Amino acid sequence: MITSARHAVAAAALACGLAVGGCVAPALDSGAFTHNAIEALGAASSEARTGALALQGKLGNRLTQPYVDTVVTASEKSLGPIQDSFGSVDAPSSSDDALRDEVTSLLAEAQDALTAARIAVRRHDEGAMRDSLVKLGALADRLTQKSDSLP
Amino acid sequence: MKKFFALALGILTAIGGFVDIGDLVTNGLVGSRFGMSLAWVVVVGIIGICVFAEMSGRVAAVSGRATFDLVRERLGPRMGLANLVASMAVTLLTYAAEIGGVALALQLATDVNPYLWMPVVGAAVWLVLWRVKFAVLENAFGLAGLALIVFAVALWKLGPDWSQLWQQAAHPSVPRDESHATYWYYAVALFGAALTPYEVFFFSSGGVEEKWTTKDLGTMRGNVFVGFPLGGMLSLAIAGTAAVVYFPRHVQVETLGQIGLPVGLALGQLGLAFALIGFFAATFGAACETGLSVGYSIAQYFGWQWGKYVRPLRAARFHTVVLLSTVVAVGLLLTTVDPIILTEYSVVFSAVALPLTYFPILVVANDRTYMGRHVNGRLANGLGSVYLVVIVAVAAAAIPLMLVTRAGQ
Repeated sequence: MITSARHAVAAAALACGLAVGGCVAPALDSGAFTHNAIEALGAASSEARTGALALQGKLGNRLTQPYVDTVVTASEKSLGPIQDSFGSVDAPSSSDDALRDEVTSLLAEAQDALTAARIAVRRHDEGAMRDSLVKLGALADRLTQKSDSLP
Repeated sequence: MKKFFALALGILTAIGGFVDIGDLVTNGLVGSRFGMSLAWVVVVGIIGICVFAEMSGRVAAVSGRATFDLVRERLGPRMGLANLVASMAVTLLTYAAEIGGVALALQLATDVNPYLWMPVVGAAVWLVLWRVKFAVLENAFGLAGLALIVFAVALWKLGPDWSQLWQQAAHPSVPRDESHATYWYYAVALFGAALTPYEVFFFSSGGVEEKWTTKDLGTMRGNVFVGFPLGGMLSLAIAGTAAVVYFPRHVQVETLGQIGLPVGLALGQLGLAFALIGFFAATFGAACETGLSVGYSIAQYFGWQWGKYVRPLRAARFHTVVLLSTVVAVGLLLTTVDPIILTEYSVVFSAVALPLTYFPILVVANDRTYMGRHVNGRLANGLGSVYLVVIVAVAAAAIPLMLVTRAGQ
């Protein structure tokens, strides 16, 4: 009986370990920090392009209002954890501070652009949607370029 | 003529009912990150589910009992309990993911928060499971699920470079910005999504619900060998649309909205409406199947009266389990867990539980005591044995790959 209970505890510990193992991404050195930056830039670029595709569909009258609102809102919400995740890891050395500042700034810009897109969609403001479409497209390109430029 | 219509209806519902939230999410995600380079896993998975669904359907038709009704009797209570615990835990997780999927589909149609929809969906699923006849439930959602054919139409309308897609599928390689470990992690996830344990639970128990006999073996095989592969084509079409729209843009699919977006871009609002109907039908139908499967597995293990072919009062414990599992599934979702993340984990844990589900099927289908002259032939045994080796390898690799890749990140 005691053995069974131990097995149960071990299984629970394993499950917790797996769950935690899937979430934590510590930066041990500059290489790991740069890797985190590449992941954050890639994820932000993905959200910006998704938002742009949704706006393109809305402006072409190919997608419904609730659909576009849901997609753009989801992209905007997804950027929060990306910013938190990258921002919560300290740059391991002073030489990484510039990268940290640049990535943080780009992520903030992406967040603002998606917020503006979401507001434009909810207001049915076609002009603002067109502006957001251009902005998100350009921002996604910058995010990708920055990511590609990192070693 | 009646037999022909039964076969046609069975095949159509098998096609429409093949895709569930696991297939939707995993194929969309994999298409966006790996193009069509993991299409071979879908094909391997479809052959596997055909092999084992045919066996479990044959067991039900010949013995008049669901496969897992026989597992405890044939393999003993310990093996039966291991099978019950592993597959039921995964099925319950999948049940929650399906209910979450319905809520996400409704959110895309209405813009109402999915967490408000979840209790409503849970209540609706339970009501359907309690009141609606089995055949109506199976056929209605299976046929409505055919709306997902819109993904194949959208893929054609997007005008992809077919030779490039074929090249990706026929000569699979790991994309430049992905690791080998991540590639294999998603191979495991796709395999788990194609062979989700509840599918055979539901298929064999459904055979008993519909009172299959050996006369129905032809129809059953038609459903499996024609319907399932065609259903699998829908999975490939979903991956294909994501591969065309997202893969070149390095966009990673993380939401149900992203999965349907290419359909809207290709076909406009009418196409999008079909995609939403397909999402709803596929997830609601699968929610009913998983909900029933939880009830089936527990009731069959303990030898209780089960099924929808008797009045609810005569199968009170079975319906109580279904009700409680619905409450647990909705409760799990209301912790605000992301249904898509839940789905991603459920397909990987499905892969872990596969041996405990599929090994007993192979044993029972080989037992002349139950099967008589319908016992497994050489082909079924050969394929079953090969797949069992693959299944064990996949199950063993799933957790290490999950840890190494940080769940596919």
